[in-house]
Amino acid sequence: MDMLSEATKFITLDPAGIGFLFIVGFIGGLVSGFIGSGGAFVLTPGMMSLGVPGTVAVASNMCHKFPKALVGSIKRYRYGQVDIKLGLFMAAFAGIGVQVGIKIQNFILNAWGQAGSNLYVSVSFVLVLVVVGGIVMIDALKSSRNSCGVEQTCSLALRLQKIELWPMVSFKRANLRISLWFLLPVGLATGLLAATIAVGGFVGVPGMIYILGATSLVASATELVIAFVMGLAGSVNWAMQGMIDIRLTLIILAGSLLGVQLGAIGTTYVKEHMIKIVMGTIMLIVAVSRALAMPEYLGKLGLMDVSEATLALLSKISFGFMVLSLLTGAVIILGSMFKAKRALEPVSAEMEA
Amino acid sequence: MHANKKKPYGKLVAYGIGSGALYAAVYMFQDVIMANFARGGVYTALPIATVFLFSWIHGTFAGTLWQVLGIDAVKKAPAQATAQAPARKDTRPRATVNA
Repeated sequence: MDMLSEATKFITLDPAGIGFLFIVGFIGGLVSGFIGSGGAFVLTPGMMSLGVPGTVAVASNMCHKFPKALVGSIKRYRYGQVDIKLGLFMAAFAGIGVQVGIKIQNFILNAWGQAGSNLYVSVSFVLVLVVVGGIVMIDALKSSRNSCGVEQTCSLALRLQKIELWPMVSFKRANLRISLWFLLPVGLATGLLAATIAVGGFVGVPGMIYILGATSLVASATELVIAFVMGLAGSVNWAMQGMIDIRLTLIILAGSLLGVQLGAIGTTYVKEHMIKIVMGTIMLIVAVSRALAMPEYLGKLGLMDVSEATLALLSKISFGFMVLSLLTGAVIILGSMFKAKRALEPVSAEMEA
Repeated sequence: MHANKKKPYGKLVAYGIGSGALYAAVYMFQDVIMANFARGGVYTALPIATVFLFSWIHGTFAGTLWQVLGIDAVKKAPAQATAQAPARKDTRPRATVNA
């Protein structure tokens, strides 16, 4: 086994490593079943901290993402929340976005080297998370004050829906009709972000809500279809290069298939704005985490003077914040499910009597 | 949620055994698996097919487990609360008959 793992660049797994991957898989699954994306940003660095090479970590992570998204989207399709047509359109445009994203990455890598590339990833991470996460959070707080908790379609989406620019596309489940020209940038941005920071859902879901005018339930459920298509394509790509450690993938999958179904069930318990609250919270906490990782790249580029000890400490705190973001998401989801279930119990007890 | 509904214990046990057997098989034959699954090329189908198989067997087990534990969806109404832009009025001149 040792010789084999050396020869095939795969690590030997210990029980602690297996336990860690299972738990992160479960919590990541729970969050993605609920908001449509998430978990990957902790799993990849988590695997790397166990000694897995970067490419193998990314590949194994991607290979667990698409079956998880498949199971989650089937579950949410049964609840009537998935718009398959919207998902396929978005996935097609996101596919183009990924290619553009890779070109940009390569350009930056050639011009400024690895540190420049890392800095670009971190800056886009922080910018997108702060801006989009902030918008989502403000909107979630506004709709939580609204006592009935019913979402309002924002005025931008309504205005865009009014523009009759050929070709128009109708989405039955999402209950909207919009020009292809507004769908395209949202899909492209999702792919571009997926290629840059590996979490395209952080713009895909808000994009579908605020630009196209889907509800957060439909947007988060449809994101799972996009994640499935893109994850499958990406996994085939990685598998062709022999980078997937199937044992790692299956361990994460063991936890995440449990989590993703629980998260999907959770969406039927809570008020719609909860999806926005969880998404906004996670995005803002991850933004802090990425901001803490920036001094390292700035140091390598010679733009900042930082000591090794400080960098090691910052990197640990940064990873801690990412774990914290997932845990916070999980606590909000499970907490609100528990609250909703308790509120429902007297009703079902009366019905049984 | 559905206390009067019969819980699918049989299904849970069947898929539980299936899922356990699959994981045991991967653990026992990991040397052969690791040597072949990462070859690339046509061997690409192996890891992809494996995760599909696991997502079916283990996924069904996981779903049934939540059902048995009494954690089930509460409302299955489609989420169609989106407001739509009002339909545009047809402003084109129209031929009318004035008698």
